Amino acid sequence: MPSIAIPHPLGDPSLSADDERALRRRLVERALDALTTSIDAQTVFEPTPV
Amino acid sequence: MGRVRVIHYLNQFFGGLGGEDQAGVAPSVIDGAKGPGLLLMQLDPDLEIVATIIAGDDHMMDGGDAAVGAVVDLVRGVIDAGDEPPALLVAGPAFFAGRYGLACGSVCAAVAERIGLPAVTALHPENPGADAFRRTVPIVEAGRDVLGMPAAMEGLARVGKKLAAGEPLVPSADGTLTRGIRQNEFAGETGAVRAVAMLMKKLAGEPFETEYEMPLFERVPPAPAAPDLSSCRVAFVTSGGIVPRGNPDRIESADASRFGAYDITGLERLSSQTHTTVHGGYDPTYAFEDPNRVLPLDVVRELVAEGRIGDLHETYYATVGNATSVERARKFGAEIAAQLKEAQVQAVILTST
Repeated sequence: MPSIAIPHPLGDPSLSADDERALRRRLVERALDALTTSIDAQTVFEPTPV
Repeated sequence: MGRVRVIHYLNQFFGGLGGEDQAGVAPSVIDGAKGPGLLLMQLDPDLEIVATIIAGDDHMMDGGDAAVGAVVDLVRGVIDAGDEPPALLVAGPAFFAGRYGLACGSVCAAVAERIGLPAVTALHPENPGADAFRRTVPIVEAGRDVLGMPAAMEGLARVGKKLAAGEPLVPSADGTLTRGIRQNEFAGETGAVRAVAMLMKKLAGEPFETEYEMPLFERVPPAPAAPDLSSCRVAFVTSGGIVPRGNPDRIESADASRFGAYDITGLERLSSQTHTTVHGGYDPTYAFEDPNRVLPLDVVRELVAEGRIGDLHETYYATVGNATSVERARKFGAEIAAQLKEAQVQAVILTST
């Protein structure tokens, strides 16, 4: 799953604390989608658009 | 050089004991050469096989270190019995035979390490034994099956004599598998000139030889999907270097030699007071400020509270994935996975930086 940036994959320091936390939650929810999706080869899970 | 006395290791098949029905036989020793060993002596009259040790492939696979130790003891016995001690152990060739290849590799490694006797085997590059032992054991590249016997034996004779004489091996010249060892050598031209020359050859469609082989990465089949996360135990693993403040395991900021396992019981989120990063390969400012940006404990706690995730494993695993070798990462991965399975973890969120 691509994330935000190398030094802050699950955050974005340019956002307000609330928005950053909401962003992190969306990313983790997308990770949960990936965990429950059956795949048979390398698969990229793009983050859900805001 | 004069005659080299050799001990030969063979499996039950090449040792003439029989096929699969004899694969369980324990190691035994006979005087002189047997089967492929006769060919070795024909090819090079300087080599004299004084004893042949024969063991069943299954016995060696199932017997672990005890079985290998028994072979080492037989080798010691041969050394102690003669006036003129053998200077070399040759194992195989095992071609593409997996169990035999692993046995040859473990016998060579053990004999070299525990007795100091040079040892060489010959395997197909894709033999599992090649993967497991190429870094520790000199391995002559062999074909897939016995059609490659003469070539493999020629290589074993040639490389074996060099080893017995204490001469260094150069894989490209000696026909041995690369061991992942880099040696300095002087070149007539600078790297820039050589690189451009190589590029020109490539552009012209001419053959060229790389100076640095890229590793071949294995393909890993994906794990099955987690069925229902609301009843799963989920764990965190990170290569982003997030550790408790003070870095209790002293994980290195590059080329990490270890990973850590850290308790997060009772923590609702990571903070700059509790955790930090020791990763030396990215600007740590943002992870210092808020380690949840690398290890999202805060939102995972929230998702557990909401019932979306059944349970969070209260130990997370961390290392630094900065210039860490694939080989080491694989070892960390296997050890962490074993511990996670033990803890009945069913899904992992792995974050990297």
